[in-house]
Amino acid sequence: MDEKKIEVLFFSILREQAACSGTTVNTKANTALELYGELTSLYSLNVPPETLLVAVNEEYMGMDGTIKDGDCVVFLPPVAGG
Amino acid sequence: MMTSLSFFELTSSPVDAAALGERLATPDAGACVVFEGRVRNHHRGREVLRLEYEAYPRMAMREGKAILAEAERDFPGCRIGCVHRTGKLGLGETALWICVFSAHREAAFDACRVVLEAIKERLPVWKKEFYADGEAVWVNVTDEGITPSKSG
Repeated sequence: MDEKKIEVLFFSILREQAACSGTTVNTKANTALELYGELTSLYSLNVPPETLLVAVNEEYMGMDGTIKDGDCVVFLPPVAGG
Repeated sequence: MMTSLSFFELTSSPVDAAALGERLATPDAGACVVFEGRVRNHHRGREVLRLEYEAYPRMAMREGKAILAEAERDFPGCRIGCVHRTGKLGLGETALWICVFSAHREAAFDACRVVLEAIKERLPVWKKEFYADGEAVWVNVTDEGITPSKSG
C-alpha cells in the first residue's frame, strides 16, 4: 500500500490537545477513522472518534470516508456556532 | 449561488447591525427580520464571563454561503445577510447576525429561522465559554455529553 501525504488541521479542543494548529503526515491509513487512530498516538488526543465528523477538502464526510494522497483532513468536534 | 446582494461573512470585529442591514435594503422589500445571537452571562446554571469563537475559516465561508444559497432557493425573493464573529467576545456582544429582507413577512421570518438552525447545525465554528469559577470549556464537547445542543 502506497503512503499518502495528508494535510491535517486542528481546531477547537483538538488544537489544544495537539498543541498545534496542523501538520502534514505520511500515512497508510485508508479511512479518516484510521488516520485519527494514528494521530491519537502521535498527539494526546482524547476526543472519542464516534463524536467527531470529518471534513475532507472542506466537505463533510463520515469517519469511515476514504482519504487519498494530497487531501486536507480536518476532524470536527461538535460545532457550537451561533 | 447566492444572489448579488446576499452575503455571508466571518469577522473578528464588532458587528455593526445597522450598516450591514442597509446593504440588503431595496424598495420592493416590505419586511426585514433580524436575529442577533448575543453573548449570555449564564449557561446551564454557571456564570459566564466571556466567550471565544474559533472557526475553520475556509470551510465556514463555504458552508455559510451554501446555507444562504439553500435558503434563497427555498424562499425565492429573499435577500439574506449573515455574519458570524470569531475571537474574543464580551457579554452582550453580537456573536451571530442574520438579516432577511423579503417582499412579505412570512418568508422573511421563515428564512431567518431556517438559516439560524442550519448555522447551529453545520457551520464549523466552536465556542469556548469562560466561567466565573475559572474553568473554561468547549461547548458541546466537554460539558454536555457531546450531543450537539439545541439550546442557545
